[in-house]
Amino acid sequence: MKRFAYFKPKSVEEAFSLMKQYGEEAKVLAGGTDLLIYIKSGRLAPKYIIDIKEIPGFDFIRYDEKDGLRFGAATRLADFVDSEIVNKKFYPIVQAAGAIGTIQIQNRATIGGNICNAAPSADVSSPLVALGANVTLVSLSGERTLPLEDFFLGPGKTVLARDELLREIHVPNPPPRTGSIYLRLAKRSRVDIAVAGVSATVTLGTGDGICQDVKIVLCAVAPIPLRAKEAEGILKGKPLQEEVIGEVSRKASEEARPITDVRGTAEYRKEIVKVLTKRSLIQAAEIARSN
Amino acid sequence: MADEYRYVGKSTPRPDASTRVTGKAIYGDDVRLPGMLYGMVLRSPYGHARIVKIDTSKAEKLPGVKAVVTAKDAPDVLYGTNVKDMRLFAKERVRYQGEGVAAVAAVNLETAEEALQLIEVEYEELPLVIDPEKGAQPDAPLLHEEWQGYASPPNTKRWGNVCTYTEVKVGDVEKGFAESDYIFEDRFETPMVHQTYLEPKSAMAAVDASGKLTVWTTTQGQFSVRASLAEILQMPLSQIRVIPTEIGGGFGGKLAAIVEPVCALLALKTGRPVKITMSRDEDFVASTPRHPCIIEVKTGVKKDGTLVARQAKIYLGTGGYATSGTYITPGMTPRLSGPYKIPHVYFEGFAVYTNQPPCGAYRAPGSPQATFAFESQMDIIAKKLGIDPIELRRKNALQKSDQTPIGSLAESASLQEMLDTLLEEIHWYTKPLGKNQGRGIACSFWASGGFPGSGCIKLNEDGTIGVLTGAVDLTGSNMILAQIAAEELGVTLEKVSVITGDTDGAPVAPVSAGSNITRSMGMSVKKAAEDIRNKIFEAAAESLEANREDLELQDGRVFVKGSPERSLSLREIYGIGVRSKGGPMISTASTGVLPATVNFVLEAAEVEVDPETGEVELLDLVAVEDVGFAINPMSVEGQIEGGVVQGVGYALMEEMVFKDGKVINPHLLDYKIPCSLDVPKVRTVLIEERASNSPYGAKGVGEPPIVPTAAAIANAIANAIGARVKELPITPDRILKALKEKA
Repeated sequence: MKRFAYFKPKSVEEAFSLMKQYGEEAKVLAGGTDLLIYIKSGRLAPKYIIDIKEIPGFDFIRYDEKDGLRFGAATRLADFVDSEIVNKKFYPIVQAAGAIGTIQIQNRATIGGNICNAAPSADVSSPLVALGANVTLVSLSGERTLPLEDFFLGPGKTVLARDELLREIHVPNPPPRTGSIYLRLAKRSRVDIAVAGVSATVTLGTGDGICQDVKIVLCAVAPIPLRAKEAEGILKGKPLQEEVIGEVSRKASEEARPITDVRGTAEYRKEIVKVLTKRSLIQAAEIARSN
Repeated sequence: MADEYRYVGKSTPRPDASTRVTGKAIYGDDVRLPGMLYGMVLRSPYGHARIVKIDTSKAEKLPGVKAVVTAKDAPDVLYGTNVKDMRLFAKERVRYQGEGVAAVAAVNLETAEEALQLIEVEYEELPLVIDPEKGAQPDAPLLHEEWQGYASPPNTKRWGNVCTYTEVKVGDVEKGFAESDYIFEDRFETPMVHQTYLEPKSAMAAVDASGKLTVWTTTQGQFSVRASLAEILQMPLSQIRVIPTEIGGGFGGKLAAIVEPVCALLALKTGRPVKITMSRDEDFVASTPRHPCIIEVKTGVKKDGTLVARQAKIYLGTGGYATSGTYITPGMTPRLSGPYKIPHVYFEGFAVYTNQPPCGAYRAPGSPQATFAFESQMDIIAKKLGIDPIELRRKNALQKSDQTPIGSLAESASLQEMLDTLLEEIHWYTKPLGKNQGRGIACSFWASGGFPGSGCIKLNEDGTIGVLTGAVDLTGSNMILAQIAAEELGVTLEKVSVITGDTDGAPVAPVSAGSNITRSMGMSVKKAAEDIRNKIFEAAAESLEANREDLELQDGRVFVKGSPERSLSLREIYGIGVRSKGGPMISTASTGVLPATVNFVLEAAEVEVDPETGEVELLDLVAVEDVGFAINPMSVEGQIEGGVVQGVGYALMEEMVFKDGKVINPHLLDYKIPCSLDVPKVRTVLIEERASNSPYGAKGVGEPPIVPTAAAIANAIANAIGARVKELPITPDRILKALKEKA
């Protein structure tokens, strides 16, 4: 492993100043569970590392009945697994954070790191997109907020500019009669990367079980967390019945653009998207009915 | 039955358990020496290529680099287990990705890593051979054009890419097929899998002023490493000392000397200590995994299920060099009849050079592959004939009086009775299966003997007992030796210390492999204990004014039977020894080759398959093994559980995946081994049919449990889904494919 200088700024200003000073030779570390592996393997060789975990305002989970859930980018995955409010109201985040790596990894890796690393298989991103999350990016010149859905450009690529940091994520309170779930399949029950995942958020109309709104987001089967919009379009305004769900699941599977790699063939991944879409819609609708 | 003994036959935790679990034990990479250098190996990026040119000049000039070595710096020696076909560094040609081409020693790892990048090697790629069956064909590209010149034992049949050929003929297989009512032909494939010991390979070498070489290494056998170093470096044994460190798992993968000779060469060249610790990636591509196999089985049966004839071909992809393919092939080929009577057989085994890492020993080498094939086919036959798969096995099961290709069954437990136990444990006939659930069993056998070695026991000044062995403690074997010494000498376990010595300090011992240490080393230690007991009695007899025959040893005291008040402590006996019996007491004893005993091992699996995703959940696993006599039942159960868990990985997820001759998953993220939540509690049943010529009747137990696991799981899955996967690992996508083909 190449040697590097390590900084742990105590303020966002200090971080920006370091980022400006070292430019392309610096890398931001938010947990390091991906970054250190890149460095060890020689894929990256930054001369400077800027650890943002100690910056005030980057590590928190806050809930407000009106505003919804807000959390800092440097909040550890384990904190979501342990959070009562996240477990109660935003369970897909717990499912995703708790599925990543080992307990040791969850104690070190952060949610912002998982998002900004922008791996197609990043577990937290798909459920957050399905929950309608927004992200706030900050830089010396100010801040901007955008839907997480628009944040990703491709594997490892995001809209984050070189001088910007992801500071916080906001998840609005879901409307009444809404249910959300994240299902993933991996070769091993734990400590494994998803072969495919599907997160669904379903909002039911009053009384008749009609799907009023739906988001279906696919994980690890496209370059980015992928909204299966055509599939969503089929379901909107229709009752959540077996036949419709079957059609929606087939459509979602068609929309998936998986690759064949050591974790699974493209063909198998498409099949799994179909199964997981079906299961996630049924489960999300069940939760919605009870909400 | 165990009540006849005080210390053997009792579950006893090993005293070093917490030292190991907390990482305080000194493992390979923990060894540090003043002035040490760090070594690294430059490995071939190609599966098969001609080396056009190697230029090390830039690397040599890098500050901090103390040595760069290639084939021209090592003695030009061809070595290998039977076929001498391999060099320390590739010369002219590389035959697998990961083959060592050069090595460096530098003041730190960063410099060594940078130096590797500065070595310029020009390669010219050659056509790859990966499939061993294709590799055995006459038109396949030759991996070793000079194969005819290699030394090998005179009876080795080999040609071209086939580095070992074995043939087994019993009866007349054509006649057998003619007499059969049905003939079944199936082809099975198994992947290359790695031992995935927790601790990667690591060694340190240092040379003293007299030129004597000392090597610290994590190994299953310091004496075999010493022999390899002597052969590769052309040095006399007396000039080499090998010190084994604690070992973090081996499973057969830490037998061959791989990093040790490279470290030694660098240490000889620099005059400074050199350490090499493999990265996990490196260990995947440059060690000795399990042979991938293609197995074709043709079996003739009568309508009533009687097995009449079997013809089989097994192709082992042995990798770029023959290594242990030369003994694993003849070892596994005869076992293709399984634990069954088949009057007519004709088996052929081919160990074939492929452009893959050279394969070696991995827990019960060869047998999990063969068993997956024949036990899968037993269920295929039962289904087709409409016979209960259990009854099919009962009908053909070997009896005590039968001859087997691997040894006599005179001292083996009854296969029929073990089958009864297995069925009862898994509730075969009593517990109904749920939807998508299935149950399967597999029967298998294994044979293990003992390799030659010696052990040593001494009486310490304070009356405690010291045991010295040259066997590496891989599985808790030192605890077994302590139990044996305590039993024979009537002292408590705390009064016995067992140490594994190095090649200069300890008597010659076998490798900790082949499930042989409890038998061979246990035998030597038991004999040495008996001998020192005699000396103790002799010394005590005079002082106690009693006949030796009337003396007893218990709780650290020698007393006259029936008069416990007339006694001497072992401390007092030590004194007597020093004063009047020629000095401190010490005894050594040796054991030669011990003939193999055959033990059956039967396993059952219960699974539930998700027919939409192909995922398999293991609901229950039962292993019934004939262990002879469990000297430490807790340790035996642990070994069986471990073997079954490795078998689960083999069945469902493990595979080194090759693309263009390169391993594309050389790390534990994408080379899956089961984690604790993937495996239910493995239920073990120990059958104790004692063996003669073995301490207390113990049989080798470490290897057998992995043998039938994949077959049992494959049968359970087939039972659940009504379709058969004939390829390991049985992954979800293969299950979905099988389901689709069925529909």
